[in-house]
Amino acid sequence: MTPPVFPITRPIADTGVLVEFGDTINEFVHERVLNFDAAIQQTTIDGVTECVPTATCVLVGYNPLQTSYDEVCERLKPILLSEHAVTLDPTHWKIPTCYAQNLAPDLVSAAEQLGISTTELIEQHCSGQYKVYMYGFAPGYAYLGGIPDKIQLPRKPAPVMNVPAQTVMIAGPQCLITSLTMPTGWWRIGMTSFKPLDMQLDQPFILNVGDTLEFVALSETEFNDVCKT
Amino acid sequence: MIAKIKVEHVGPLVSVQDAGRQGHLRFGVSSSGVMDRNSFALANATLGNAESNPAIEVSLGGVSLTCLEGSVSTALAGGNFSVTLNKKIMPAWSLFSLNAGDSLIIRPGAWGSWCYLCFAGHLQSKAWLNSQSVHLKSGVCGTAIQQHDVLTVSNCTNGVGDTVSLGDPTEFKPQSRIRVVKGPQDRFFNEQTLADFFTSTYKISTDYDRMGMRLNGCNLPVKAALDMPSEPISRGSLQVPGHGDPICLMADHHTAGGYPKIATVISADLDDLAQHRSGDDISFVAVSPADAVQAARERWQSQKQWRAQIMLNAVGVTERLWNNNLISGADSGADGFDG
Repeated sequence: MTPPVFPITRPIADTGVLVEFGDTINEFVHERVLNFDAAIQQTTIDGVTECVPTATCVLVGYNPLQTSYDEVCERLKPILLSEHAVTLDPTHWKIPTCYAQNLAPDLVSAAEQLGISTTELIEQHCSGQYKVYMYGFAPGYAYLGGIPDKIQLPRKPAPVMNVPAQTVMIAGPQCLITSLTMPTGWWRIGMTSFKPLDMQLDQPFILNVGDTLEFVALSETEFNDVCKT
Repeated sequence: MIAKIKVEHVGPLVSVQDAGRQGHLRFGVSSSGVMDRNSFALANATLGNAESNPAIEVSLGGVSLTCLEGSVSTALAGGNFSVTLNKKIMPAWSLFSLNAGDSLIIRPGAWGSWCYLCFAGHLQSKAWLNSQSVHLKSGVCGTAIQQHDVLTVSNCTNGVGDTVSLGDPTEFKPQSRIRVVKGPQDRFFNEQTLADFFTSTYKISTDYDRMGMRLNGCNLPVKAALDMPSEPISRGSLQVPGHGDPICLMADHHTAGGYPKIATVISADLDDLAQHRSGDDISFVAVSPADAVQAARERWQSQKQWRAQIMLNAVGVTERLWNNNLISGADSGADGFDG
């Protein structure tokens, strides 16, 4: 079988065009996703209602009363040819995080599973260079790639209910800062003062897909001080 | 004027919904909004409301309400529910006056899964991103409506005298043949599986809520290992997890997922699908994206005709309500659409 040639466009009923840039998650494919997404944001296409970037593809949503699959594909062609012309300007975020055991209910068991000390788990987590690959699951849930190989763990067999917002958690190659109280099967290894979702703001989602992050360890006293301000 | 309405009894999944919040899938926010957009729009249109004016979406769990104070024109449409006002049997789709002391009971009737209680006024509840639609899973804009809740409708008007039937809902009885566009991951299924999907009948299971409905029927094994990266999900996506039963994702769907989607229900057939109940049989037929777009446009035209017909049924009353409300925007068309 000949390997597929990307990008590939596919119809989503009468409401979307799915543009795929690859079938495995990697930096190169995601850069193309980000470039294409940024190019669409800068272009007005009649009838296009939204643009949803993920790790390997972009969904371009449209209103079928205003345009059609063929018309949208036609408008996307020149953008796909000139996607690299866009300059990306991602923000880098430092995420103050407290790994104290009373705020990190899974820190000890995660370290045990990995066969390392909690100190090493924290050091490894803080050494990662993270990037927002996509959003999913719930409002404000930004999936971060960049977990060091040494601390990758499969998710827990059963989810835990009512995990609070601002929990720092890991599963497999991904890390996440929760934005709402929700159930999760990920490992809870810390808490941050950073709020990825502020429902009072006009633009309530603080992180953009493509932004980079690093986690900075704080003592519990430092963390409490940061939370107060 | 305000009206206060007390919830005496309520089943699960009854919530405040409007046209939903569009354009935020990229931040993990599903659009939510009403399950049956057509019935909701018709009910609001009869009251002269803006077409996205929030309503109480009533599930098969039903609801029993008492009006504590005030007086408000009220419209009911969607499915064929069994409705009584002060123990008097009402037409399933109707326009009536709700006054202090009135008791309104809505129970499942002959068919349909969702009906809409709309008011000539503004139903008060939390709003976020220009929508009051509750997202049950994440708690955005609150929770489902609970027993003993007291709902407030502000800026009420009431120009209805006697109850008016909006007509026989039978023409809105859902079709069992649901049109889909293949893909986007139909390549994960072999030819026989795809043929099975389009030739067999599926039964809607009891796993049916605002997020989605699981279907039972011919099992759909996935050809390759389930290792595709997470991709965006749309309303109407038919995803197939490891168990091989397709799940159709509805208003409160999560925004991304890693299961292959064998097909996507076209927007023109989503309201019909939503009004089916657990136990109903449905089948799928493939159409091209161009045909699906054409179907959406035809559906829009039909909706305009239905609206005109319903106005005719409520002749006089609707006109008076429109004059009372002086609200425009019931025909904003393109703006109101949500894939």
